[in-house]
Amino acid sequence: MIRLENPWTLALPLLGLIVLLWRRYRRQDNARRTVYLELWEKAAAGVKIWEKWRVPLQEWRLLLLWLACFAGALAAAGPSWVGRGGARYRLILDRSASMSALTSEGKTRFDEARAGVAAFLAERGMGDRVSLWVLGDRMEPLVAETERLDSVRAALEGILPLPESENSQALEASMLHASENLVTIFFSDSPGRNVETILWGVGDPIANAGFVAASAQGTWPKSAIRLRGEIRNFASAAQSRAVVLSGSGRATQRLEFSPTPGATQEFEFSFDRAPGGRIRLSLEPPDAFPADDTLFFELASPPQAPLVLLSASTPDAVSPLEAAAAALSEEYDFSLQRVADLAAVPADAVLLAEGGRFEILPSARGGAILFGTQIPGLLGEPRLLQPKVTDWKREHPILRGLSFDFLACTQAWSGLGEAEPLVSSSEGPLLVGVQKGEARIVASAFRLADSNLPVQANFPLLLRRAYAWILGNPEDGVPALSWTGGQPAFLDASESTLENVPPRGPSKVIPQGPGFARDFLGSCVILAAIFLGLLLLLELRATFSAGARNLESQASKP
Amino acid sequence: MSEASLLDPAFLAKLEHLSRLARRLLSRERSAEEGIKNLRHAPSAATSFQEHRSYSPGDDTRHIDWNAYGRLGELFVKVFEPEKRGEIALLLDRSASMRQGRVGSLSLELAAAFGFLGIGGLDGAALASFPGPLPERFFGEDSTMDFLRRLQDLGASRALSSGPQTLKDAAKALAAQRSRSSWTVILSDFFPAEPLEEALPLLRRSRVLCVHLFDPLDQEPPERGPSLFEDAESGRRRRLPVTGQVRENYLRLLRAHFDRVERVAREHGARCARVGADISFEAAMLGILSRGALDA
Repeated sequence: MIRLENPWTLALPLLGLIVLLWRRYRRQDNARRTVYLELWEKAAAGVKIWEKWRVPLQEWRLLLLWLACFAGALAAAGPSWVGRGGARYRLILDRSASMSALTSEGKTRFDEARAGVAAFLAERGMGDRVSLWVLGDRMEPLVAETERLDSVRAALEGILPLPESENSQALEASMLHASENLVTIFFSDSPGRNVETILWGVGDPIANAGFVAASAQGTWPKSAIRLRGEIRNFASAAQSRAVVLSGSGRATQRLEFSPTPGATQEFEFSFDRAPGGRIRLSLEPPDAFPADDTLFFELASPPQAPLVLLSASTPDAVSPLEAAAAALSEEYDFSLQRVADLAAVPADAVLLAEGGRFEILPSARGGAILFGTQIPGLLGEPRLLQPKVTDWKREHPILRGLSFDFLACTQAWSGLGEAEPLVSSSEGPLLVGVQKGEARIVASAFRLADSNLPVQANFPLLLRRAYAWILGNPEDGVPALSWTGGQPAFLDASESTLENVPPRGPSKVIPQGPGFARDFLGSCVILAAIFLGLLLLLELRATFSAGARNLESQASKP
Repeated sequence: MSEASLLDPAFLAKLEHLSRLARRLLSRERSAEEGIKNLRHAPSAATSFQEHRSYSPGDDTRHIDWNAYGRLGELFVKVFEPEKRGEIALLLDRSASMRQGRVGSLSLELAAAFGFLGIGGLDGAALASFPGPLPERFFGEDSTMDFLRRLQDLGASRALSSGPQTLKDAAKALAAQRSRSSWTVILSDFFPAEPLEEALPLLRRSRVLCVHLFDPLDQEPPERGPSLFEDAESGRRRRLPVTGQVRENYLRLLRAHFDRVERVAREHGARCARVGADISFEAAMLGILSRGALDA
């Protein structure tokens, strides 16, 4: 398809075309009146057939001039080719031993699969890029990604099946190498079936021609995890499957499903998060594409220490610290305790305080998060006036993903230099993390009331990260829902669609790769120049031959 | 040519002027006045007495009837019948090809000029057209306007169907009237040439001048390429490829046709004058006369 930025530029040549056609029609309609029609008929009696279609010179000139104008107008219109192609494909041809088996039509599965690859290549459009891999004991690249499909076809002819192989792991391994906007197509057989094409769509992490779990969502870090997912039947017949949740000492949960072809059914599991560990979600029995039938979740242990707010340090009815602490306790599903003095803080609690002065550093097992609290030997006079943030540890578990560009303080205590600085300023550290015995302390040199930290989005995240770090959670400090082992890679690409009809088996419409746009302004300019050049040659020829023609006509006149 | 143009005073003035010029050109050996005398009727032994009239100063004294003077005592001159020197017969082609465009109007103007010359300088003019009415005769200067009106009617394509349809028929009709034409002027495009070949033997009693009229555009073939032609006579249309070879063939055939008309005329003792329609009738007429086409 041609896309024009300025289509109105074609109005002039189109108008010229109308004029030319009208002129030709009118010329054709204007007969030359003569007495000597018989003489003309006799004169033309012996003319060759091909000469009857000679276009007169004048019309050639006009045609070339019009073509030059059209090419120039097309160039001015800003033309570009916009096609459906431009997608990236990775073709994986199974040449394992099982592919040598004969199909019902007397051909081998491998021949059918190779024919499927050839048919797929024949349907590609301009801009499509294809790479060819073979699957035996491992997945090996044969032709690197290229637009030259002839090289792919040539390589395809030279592939031979292996006499023996084991490719189950190779299939799984191949999926780990998926990348954005890449459509991977397997040409392989499956247990109990003839050769079929398995399509893996862009934007859909778990989709094939079989029957698998489509997605799953979990909520955390609450104590109870709810895991939701859906199962879609891509087969042509009803299927009976079970989704099983197990692992990490938990009771196995099993849900049975029998969706009809094309139907989708949802499922939900609930389980206690406390034991943590690895959760396994699997489809039983596996489908034609078993590599993605098992999902794993790594669960971090939930925080165990209570959160205690030293209310004496927050005289306001609802201080920013108290509000943030309340939200954090709600998130972790336990209540926030308020105590009036340090003596009432439980030994395993995490203490929250702002301002004030501690005579001794809290050394309880729980740890503390302090904002501008004076601690002898750690934080105190002299004051730092309007310290400017200069840097912060971006890879620290507490600060990962946070920004302190807009942190402003009117004043802060000094003296945190001996501790590990997390946020630094021109006057000294503003935030530190300290290990005191078994306890960890996160201390800021400024009070929340002396800064704009409470109104920043960093604040609740900072509080939660500090809380998690104090309790010694996994390295990143964030209990994550992670996919490991046996899972398909998620291709986070924009949507596209294409339709592929394999030589045998079910077909599936999957999004196509993004289109392409190539301008051909230069081609139009060159075309216009060529036409004008031809026109110039015609004019020169006409000029030089005009004199000879005049002499000829004068000599021929009666 | 428009209906009123042949009667237009300006056109008549041109005819008068042309007639004076023609008188000088008609005879090469004698003077213009003497030449005109060859045309004007002059008494001779072959003329017959018609009547007497009173003598007027200036009359030729050779014509005074002295016998009548002896008897009556008054001078009388004899008036004789003018010598019949013949007429110009005009055969005007009024076929479809000759009725349109400059060729058609030129043929009418030339016919008017020849007729004016005949009426004024000879015994008159006979006008026949093909297709057209039977030949009509016009003699005496009073008949000049009648002649021109008749010519104008032919120009307007009126009264064409009652008489002869072809040149041969017109020549036959003219010959049947046993007119003593000094000259027979045929104004036509002579295409095809066969009718001329058939008509000329019928006009052997007079001197024949074939005025071959043609459109100069026919000598300039169109540009190479397919061209649509329309026959001026029948209206038939034909699209033909015009290539370099076709142009050459056509021009050769056209030249052959012109040569044939000349040859046919020459073989029958006629004279031929080829006139293109791109010149005025005065120039055409003077060209014809200057070449002695009407010499005895």
